[in-house]
Amino acid sequence: MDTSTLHQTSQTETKDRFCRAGRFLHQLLVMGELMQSCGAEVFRVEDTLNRMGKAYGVERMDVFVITSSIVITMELPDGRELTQTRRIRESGSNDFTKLERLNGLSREYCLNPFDERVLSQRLEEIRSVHLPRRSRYAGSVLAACSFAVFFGGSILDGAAAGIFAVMICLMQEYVAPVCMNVMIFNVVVSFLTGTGICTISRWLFGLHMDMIMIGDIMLLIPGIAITNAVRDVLIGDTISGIMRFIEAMLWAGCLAFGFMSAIWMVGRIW
Amino acid sequence: MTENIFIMDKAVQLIMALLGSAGFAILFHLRRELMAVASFGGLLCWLVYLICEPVMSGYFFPSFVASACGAFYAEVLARVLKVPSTPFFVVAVIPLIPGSTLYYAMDQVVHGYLSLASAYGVRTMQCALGIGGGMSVAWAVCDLSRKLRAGIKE
Repeated sequence: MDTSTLHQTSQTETKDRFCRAGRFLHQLLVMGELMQSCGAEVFRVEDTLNRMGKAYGVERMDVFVITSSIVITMELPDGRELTQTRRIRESGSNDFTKLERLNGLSREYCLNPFDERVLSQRLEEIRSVHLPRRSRYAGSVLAACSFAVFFGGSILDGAAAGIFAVMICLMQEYVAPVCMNVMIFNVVVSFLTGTGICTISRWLFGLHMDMIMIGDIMLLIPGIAITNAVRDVLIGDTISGIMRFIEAMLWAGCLAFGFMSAIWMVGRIW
Repeated sequence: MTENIFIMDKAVQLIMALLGSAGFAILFHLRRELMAVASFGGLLCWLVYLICEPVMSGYFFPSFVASACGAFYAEVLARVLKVPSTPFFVVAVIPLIPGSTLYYAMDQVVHGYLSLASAYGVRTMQCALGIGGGMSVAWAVCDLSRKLRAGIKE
C-alpha cells in the first residue's frame, strides 16, 4: 500500500468517526429532551449527559441545559469540536417510570458503551411508555379526595372533589388539545370546575365549597413547579429556576382568575 | 375530650397525607413496587411537620425541617433501591405544598381584602422557600457524604 491510499483510508476513517460522533450527539439530545419531559431536574440532565459523553470517550463535554433548551459541545480526542442544540417547547408532566428507565439506560451505557443505533432504539422504546388512562383517573380522584379531607373537609366534600377530579381529567383529555396554550387551558378548566363546584355546593346542603375547591386545586396547582423553581435557584441553576418560577406564577394567576370569576359569577346569578 | 378530637384530627390528616401522596404517585406513573414506600414518605413528611409546628414559630422552619427529612428519606431509598431520588422526593413533599394558603390568598383578592391576601401570599412563599431550602441542605449533606466515601476509597 503506498502512502497516498494510506492517507486516504485514514482520512475516511476520521471522517467516519466524526459522523459517528455526530449521530451519538444527536441521541444525547434526544435523551436530554426525554429526561426533561418526564420531570428530571436540570442538574440531573446535565450530569447524565456529561457521564454518557465521557463514557463514549470524548476529551471534554460542555453541557448546558435550561428548561427550554439544551446545548452540547463535545471535544473529540483529535481536537475537533461538535456542537448541537435543541429547543424544548413542551415541559411535560412527571412520568417516573420513564425517568427510571432513562436512568437505567444511562447507567448501562456508562458501564459498557454500545452502538448509537442501539441507543436510538432503546430511547424510542422508552419514548413509547405512557401513563395508562385508568391510572390517570384513579390517581387524580384519589389525590383530590384525600386532599379535600386533609385540609379539613368532610367525607362528603372528599367525594364531591373526586367527582370534579374526573371532570378535570376529562377536560385534560379533550379540551387541552384545542386550547392555544397551558395558560388558556388553565383559565378554562378552572372556570368550568369552579362554576360546577359553586353550583353544587349551593344546591346541596352540607358541602363546603372551599374544601372541595382546595382538593381539586391540588391537582391543578403549580405547587410542585414552584418548589422545583425554588430548588433550582438554590442549587445554582438560576436561569431555569427563574423561568420556571415566572411560569408557575402566571399559571397560578390563571387558576385564580378562573376560579374567582366562577365564584363571582355564580354569586351574582343565584 | 378536646384532646381526643385533636388527636383524631391529626390521625385523619396523616392518613390523608398517605393517600394523597399515593394518588400523586399513581398520577406520576411511579412503578407499582415503589409506590408504597414513596407514599409513606408523604406520611413521614407530614408527621415531622406536625411535630415541628408547635415547637417552631412561623411556617418556614417546620416546612424546612420536614422537607429536609423527606429529602433524606428519598436519598436513602434511592441508594438502597438503585433508582433516582426525584420520584420519592416529589411524592413525599406533596402534603407540604401550600395549596390551601394559595387558595385563601386568591379568595381574599376577589373579596378585596388585599392585606389579608398578601399575608396568605407571604405564608405560601414561606412554605415554598422552606421546602426548597430543606431539600437543598439535605442534598448538600448527601453530596458531602458521597465525596467523603469516595475519598476513603482512594
